[in-house]
Amino acid sequence: MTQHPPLLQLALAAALVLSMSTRAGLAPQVFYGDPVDPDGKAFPIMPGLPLLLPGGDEQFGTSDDIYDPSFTGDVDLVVRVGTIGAAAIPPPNGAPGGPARQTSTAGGGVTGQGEEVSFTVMVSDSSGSPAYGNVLMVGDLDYRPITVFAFADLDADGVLGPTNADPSGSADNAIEEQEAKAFVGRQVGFLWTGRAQGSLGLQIAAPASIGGLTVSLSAGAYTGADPNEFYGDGTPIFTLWPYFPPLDSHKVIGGDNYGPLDPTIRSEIIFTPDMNYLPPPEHPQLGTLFAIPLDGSEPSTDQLTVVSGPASGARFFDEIDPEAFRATSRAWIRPAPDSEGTGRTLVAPVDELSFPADGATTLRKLRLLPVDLFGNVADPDPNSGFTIDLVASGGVYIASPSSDPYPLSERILLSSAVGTEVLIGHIGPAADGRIDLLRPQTGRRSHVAGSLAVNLSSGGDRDADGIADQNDNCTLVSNRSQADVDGDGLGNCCDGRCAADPNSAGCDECGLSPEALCDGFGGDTDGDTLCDSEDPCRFFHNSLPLTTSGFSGIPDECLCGDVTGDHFLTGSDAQILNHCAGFLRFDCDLSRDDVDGDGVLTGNDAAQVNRVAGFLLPAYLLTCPRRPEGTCGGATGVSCF
Amino acid sequence: MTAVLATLYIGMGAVRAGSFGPTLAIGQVVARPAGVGAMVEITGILGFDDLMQVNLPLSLLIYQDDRFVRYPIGGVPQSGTFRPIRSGLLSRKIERLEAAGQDEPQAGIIRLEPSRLVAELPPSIGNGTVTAVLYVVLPDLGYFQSNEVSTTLEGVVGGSP
Repeated sequence: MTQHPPLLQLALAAALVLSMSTRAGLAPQVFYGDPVDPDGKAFPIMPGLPLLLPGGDEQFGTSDDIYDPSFTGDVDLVVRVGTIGAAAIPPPNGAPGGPARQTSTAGGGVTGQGEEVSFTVMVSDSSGSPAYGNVLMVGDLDYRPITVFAFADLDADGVLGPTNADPSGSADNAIEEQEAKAFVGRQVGFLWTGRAQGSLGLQIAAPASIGGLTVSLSAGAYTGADPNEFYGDGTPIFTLWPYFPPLDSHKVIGGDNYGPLDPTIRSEIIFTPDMNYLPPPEHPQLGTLFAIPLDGSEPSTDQLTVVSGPASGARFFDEIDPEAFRATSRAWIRPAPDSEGTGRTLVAPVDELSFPADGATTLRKLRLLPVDLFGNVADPDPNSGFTIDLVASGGVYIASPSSDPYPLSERILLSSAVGTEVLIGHIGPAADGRIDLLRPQTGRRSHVAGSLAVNLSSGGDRDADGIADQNDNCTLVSNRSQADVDGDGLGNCCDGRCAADPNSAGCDECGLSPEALCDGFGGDTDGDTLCDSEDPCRFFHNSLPLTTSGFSGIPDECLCGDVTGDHFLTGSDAQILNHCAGFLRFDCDLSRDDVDGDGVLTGNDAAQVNRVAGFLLPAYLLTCPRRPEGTCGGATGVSCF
Repeated sequence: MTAVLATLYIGMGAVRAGSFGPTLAIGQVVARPAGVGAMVEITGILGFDDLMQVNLPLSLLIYQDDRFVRYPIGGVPQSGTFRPIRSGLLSRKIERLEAAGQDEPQAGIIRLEPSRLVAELPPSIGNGTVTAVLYVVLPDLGYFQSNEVSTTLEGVVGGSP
């Protein structure tokens, strides 16, 4: 991001003023008074934010971005929880003088549990009188599509998205980035006389005993004149979002598809998180602009509290280490009471547990927590509690709690959402152990409530530094200190730092060049200091741990043919590849998209991706320069399904 | 240019097949014993995000030989026998399948996540080959179903049903 020079700024301002006076009459009323470009088209600006444009490359975060703080966006669009028919836009929930924040139960009503959250999206006249303006009840935006997305305040700091202004400063920015990256509910609708109403279900929640989970709603509307373009030919209008969302409606609705919108057709929302622009918190100009306060002071968005459904099962969890956490586009971590029951923390589900085969680790501590149907930590019935039988097999035993002499089973009463800590051990050579979670029923067979698979990792401790490979940030070189000054997940001995600066922390333990590190391990073709024998992406500079979002089991960094970057291979990827093959687009990447390995992009590459999308071909069989192996299992990092 | 693209999109109909309806696809099915019963875990595209937008009438069907258990999301699981299911689920069989069977208290959905569904199997499903398929019936839009994926269940106490 660079701020454009004063001369360009002046020229831009002059052009804006000139165009505002001559062309604004062509725009819908919502844009009256807004700055427009020389062609009379309004600029997209979020409320309270400066003018930020992606520049000629149409991508944010690049050197030609335009940043002009002399323009500040007004409120064009407002979303509120509830069904609102009044002309005056009410304050957000929780704002001074506004209604109290509403509470909803997760689940969206799809299983007979929970309920959908009703919302109203309103086009604002930005009048400020009354305080939040009036609905612009004109028909010039009728039938234009709207989206509503929900985001969760996972760390309960009262702000959505990365901020350094909270008590934790920058230490928890990865958690706060997760809040913005992963939406927890979504819906589409249509504007009609300046208003769109609907409802959406929310996926994640927190137990009521810790105050539930605050969720913020943001909305966008796409304007334009051509319904065949999903009205994407006009300027989008937004409430405040925790990032700059895609300006192109096809990146959110329709996924590059043309056709009539239909809110009953679910797959018409295809959201590509990689198209979002989320500046880092330390960005000098934009660092905290996208953080949304959740105290009702932000006029365009609204909040509600979501609580978990009734406890129906149990699950093992591990507490999150904020320093080691990496944000993903999936909503997978959950709020929970801390183990003392005095505060709240974040936990990650554990459905599979590995012990090192060399026996270096013999006990693991996990938290057993009651959950609702959607895997949210939940409050059990306060009158009867929630009883779970743990039944271990395959060399696994329950070391603690231990109410009887039999280590293979344990009956546990989960009297609150705090749950209990369970110490799990493993003995013997068996590699296919498990702990079943059962709910005892009076006079009947127990119900199954969950399962934890337990196995032995094959890696052991290859460099014999006393740290099992699964926990070692440098598996082939002894580095007992685990020093990692740049926090990239690779120890200094393995990421080239020691080769560049032998005086770095921990380098007295290794001192090897990166090339020497991989002698005997297949070399290091892509120079990422992951030796080829253990690198899932041999020809692509990647680091560990890899993130695997899609169910192909292939790490996101080396998924061949994933043009949209959503970590799934879908018909959209095939379609874009077909366009690249026909020279209608030029944004494909041969190293990623040449899935048939013939050196050029053709319709056959698109066809192969389409076969994977249709489950006619396993994803791991696609090869590309980034991941040429075409194999799975073992050290490839690729699951075999 | 728009006309060219529109023509191309029509030509790409096969690529985008299903994109105007719910996408259901099973990537993996794991069935295993649990306690004295058994459970099945489905991984794939379940349309769960979509389920949360609009009440999508999704059902999971598990069958073994001519025995089946059906898990309608938000409804009571049903189990029974349905001889035509032995040759697989076809859309024309769905109406008759849904009329067969009775409430099954020993079955239920344990967990529902965006790409994962875990369910308890009733005693009528025992050791042997188990097949899973997802389907949706939408008014005016018709039937949508996933691929069928089979796996082997073994080690259940009591063996075959």
